[in-house]
Amino acid sequence: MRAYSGRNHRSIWGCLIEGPLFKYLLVTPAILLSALLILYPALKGVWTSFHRVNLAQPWQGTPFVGLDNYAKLFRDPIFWRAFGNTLIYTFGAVTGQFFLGLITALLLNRSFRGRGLVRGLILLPWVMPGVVAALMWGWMYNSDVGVINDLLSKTHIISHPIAWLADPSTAMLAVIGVAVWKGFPFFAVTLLAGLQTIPRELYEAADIDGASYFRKFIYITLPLIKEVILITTTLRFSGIFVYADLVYVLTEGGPANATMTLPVYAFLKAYNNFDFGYAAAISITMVLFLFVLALVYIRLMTLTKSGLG
Amino acid sequence: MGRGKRWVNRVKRALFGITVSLIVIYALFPFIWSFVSSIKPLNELWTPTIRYWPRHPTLDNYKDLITKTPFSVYFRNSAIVASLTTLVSVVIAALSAYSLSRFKGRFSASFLRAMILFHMFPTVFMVIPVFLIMKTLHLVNTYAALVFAYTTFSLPFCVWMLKGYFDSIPYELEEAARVDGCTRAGALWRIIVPLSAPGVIATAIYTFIGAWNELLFAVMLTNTTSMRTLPVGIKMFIGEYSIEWGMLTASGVLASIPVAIGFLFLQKYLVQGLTAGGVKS
Amino acid sequence: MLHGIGRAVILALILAAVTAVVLGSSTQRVTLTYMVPGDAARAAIIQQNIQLFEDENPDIKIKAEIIPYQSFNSKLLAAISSGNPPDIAHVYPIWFPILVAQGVLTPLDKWVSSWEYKDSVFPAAWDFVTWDSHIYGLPTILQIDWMYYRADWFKEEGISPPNNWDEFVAIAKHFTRDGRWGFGFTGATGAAGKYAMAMIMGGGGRWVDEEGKAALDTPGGIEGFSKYIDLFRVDRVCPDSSPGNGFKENLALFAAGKIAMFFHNPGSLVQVRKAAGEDVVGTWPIITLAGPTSNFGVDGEVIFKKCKSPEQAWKFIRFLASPDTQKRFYQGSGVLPTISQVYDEPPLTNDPAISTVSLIMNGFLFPEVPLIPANWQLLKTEPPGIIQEALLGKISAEDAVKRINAVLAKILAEAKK
Repeated sequence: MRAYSGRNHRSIWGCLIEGPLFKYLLVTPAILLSALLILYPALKGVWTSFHRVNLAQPWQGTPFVGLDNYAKLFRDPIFWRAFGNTLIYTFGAVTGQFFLGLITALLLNRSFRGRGLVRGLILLPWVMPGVVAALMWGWMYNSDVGVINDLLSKTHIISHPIAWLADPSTAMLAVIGVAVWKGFPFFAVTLLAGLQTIPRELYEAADIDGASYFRKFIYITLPLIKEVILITTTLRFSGIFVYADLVYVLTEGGPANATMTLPVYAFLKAYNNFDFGYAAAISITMVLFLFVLALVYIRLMTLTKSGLG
Repeated sequence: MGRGKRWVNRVKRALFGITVSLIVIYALFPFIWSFVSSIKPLNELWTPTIRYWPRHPTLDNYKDLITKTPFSVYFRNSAIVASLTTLVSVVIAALSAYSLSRFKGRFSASFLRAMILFHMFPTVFMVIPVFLIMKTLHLVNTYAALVFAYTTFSLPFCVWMLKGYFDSIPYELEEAARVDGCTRAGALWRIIVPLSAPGVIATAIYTFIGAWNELLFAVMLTNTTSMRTLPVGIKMFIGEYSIEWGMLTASGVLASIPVAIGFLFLQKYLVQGLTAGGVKS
Repeated sequence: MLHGIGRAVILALILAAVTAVVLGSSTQRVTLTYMVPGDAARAAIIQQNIQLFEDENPDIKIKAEIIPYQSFNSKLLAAISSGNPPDIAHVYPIWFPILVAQGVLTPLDKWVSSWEYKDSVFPAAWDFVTWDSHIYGLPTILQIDWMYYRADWFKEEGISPPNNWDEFVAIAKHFTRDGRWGFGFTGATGAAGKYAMAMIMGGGGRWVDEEGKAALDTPGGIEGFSKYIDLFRVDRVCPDSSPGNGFKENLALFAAGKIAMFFHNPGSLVQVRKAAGEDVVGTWPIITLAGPTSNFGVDGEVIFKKCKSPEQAWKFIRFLASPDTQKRFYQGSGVLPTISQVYDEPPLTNDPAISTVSLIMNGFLFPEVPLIPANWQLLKTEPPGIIQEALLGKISAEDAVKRINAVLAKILAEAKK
């Protein structure tokens, strides 16, 4: 650390660090990286969405087609199906992950024997490589050789195996189940970190007043982790909304588009059909919708909180 | 009063234990299934009745995985890339988060909103432009390409999370330190980061796991076995007309355990204690 | 005197320099980039082959990029569209019409005409790589489909494999009892489209008619598809999970003794045998209304126009297509060679399953994609969804075939004129 003799003697470095430009300096690396690797491709994506771009058909060139790709979106029944599915999937997955993660965090916040081990084991769904996890769950869900149906039958909960992933009425539920499993450790870890910063004294004071567990939770815990909840649910919602990999490996959007979500649809259009113009239009629409939704959500949740300007 | 209360406590503890066990089983089951499958010989994978434990368990898959495939190379690459990504991400994000947390204003509000927007971009149409950029910079098939890409895409999340945790550290602590002659940068690294350690660790875990499991960019930006990461290596067990279940399930186990064990050691830093005595009132 | 020695020295130096340049350029190694799809097993064989080739040809170095199957298309596309294709690539059948239409391949005619194994390659294989009367690829893997059946069950009951559609349905019905199903219907993944196409073609549908219009939806084509879908919907000889089943599910069902027959590609023979047991696995052509039917395509090695050393590139792909290399691929990963003489030698002659291949080659074959330069990707990716809808009863078989036909027509319309 540099030694300063008070504020009288400043080098250029000192000026930068202590001066008004400091706050801009701090964010420069993030801005540079994001501009290069996110902003530029994003703008390119926007450009692509206004052109007809099919990489496998270069003899057609890349003519400007204005809002044609977007008009195509509006007329595309699969797009709307995917839109609805994405909302269902994302809400279902985030809600499930959040509540299971919250319960887990609350449990792990208390000390008990083996807590350290459990905290490590809880991470496994999150850590497991996506391809393996999806293949395992696909196998487990199978109606003829899958363990889920096997166990459910053996315990007489069901009389007839359910084709979880092949039946359109259960496919979405099954996929959400996998998403909850894979993602709840994230909430468990981040909420636990939030819980850990609540000073013990507050709970002790409440105990002296004879407060029940429920009251302590509502009046002490919740308000103090409200910020963390807001941030994690917003980010998680956005992340899941645009994440294709899990659904893609499990069902590729089937059967008959029962689990087709927008990111999977965009992915298929781009890498199966090579129709990058349309895939870009789908992606941009998805991002715009999500951004508006996120802003509304944040505004609603932080009517009094500062931090967002 | 005594006996009644003890019984209630016992029930409470039992419920607690049961709930924790259920959650652990739920979290672990697919992993256990992967492990059981990995020690089964191929002809026991699909039998008329499901076998929950093989008749002839074998560690051949693990042996073959480590000796006959480049698994250890993939593991090394993933470890290096994920560690570097986490380090770089957390540092850059911490700097940004400090700025956003301590210097509020229109700029920081717009920057935050931009970060959320960036977090929302699906990788679908980012992959090829990013590939072209890396190609222009002659970085294809290097650790640098992956680290840059992963860092950039985890920044929005890290910045937001760290800002949230930094916000909860009272400004008085820094002021006190600066009165004592500490610089702003010093305040950041010596006070804020340690006090928000749980949050920093959580962010680091998120970044690490994200980089550990990322597939799309890894496929695009690596060309040779020497640079491949685990997710791509695992994908290679999916053949054109067959899947090498033995290798796949074994690598699922070996790719997950070390990270979980790592966290086992780290998790003690998630505890309080660092905040004790920090806040006066 | 110094003058004379001086001149001699200078002359010697010049000679030395010239020799060095000449020698240097002739031993200068040519480096060729090679993109090839592969899994872990095939990667080992590919690297072995490259080593053997480089030993025999020290002046050529091959830089191979082995890509996982599911990512191959996007990587090759990214390379080509960024203006940097590899020198050589191993491509799937679907790529031929696309790359030919893009005009990025080097014709191989002048080399093939003097290639020693030219006449040993199956004629159908040459047909597939010949576009506009030019040969654009060297065929190295045969892509056909066949059927696996439980040889143990058939033997037990003295049943022999079906020779026509009615026999096929009867056998499927016969084995549907006691918690088993007669036929594992592939309702998911790209393969679903291929088998459906076989059924449509077997009934009489064709890619294009004489006028060049999409012709899948002839009455016969619709009948073929309709009878196929009825296996699940009406005859009920297929598992309930069929709409979501691909190869991995069917293999699990087959090995666990839940289905008697299912369709797949010969490339999986080794794994199917290992999973289910050698004496359990029988192979047979796919039977449609036209008898033994199969789609037909070849994987091939192509040279891109951008390659600056086509002569050396030819040497490499010639090596890859030679009988010994193809035999090595077969032994290591079970893929079928394209040279008929390899089938007459061990180890292929030792394998009873290989006799099925000749039954298929003598049966009804249709090209995997229409032999017209165009982007046939949609033809691979749209049908599975349509088939799922027909399976679930959301659309009729006739509508399904008409929709697939419409996809075909759309691609034809956008083809390069």
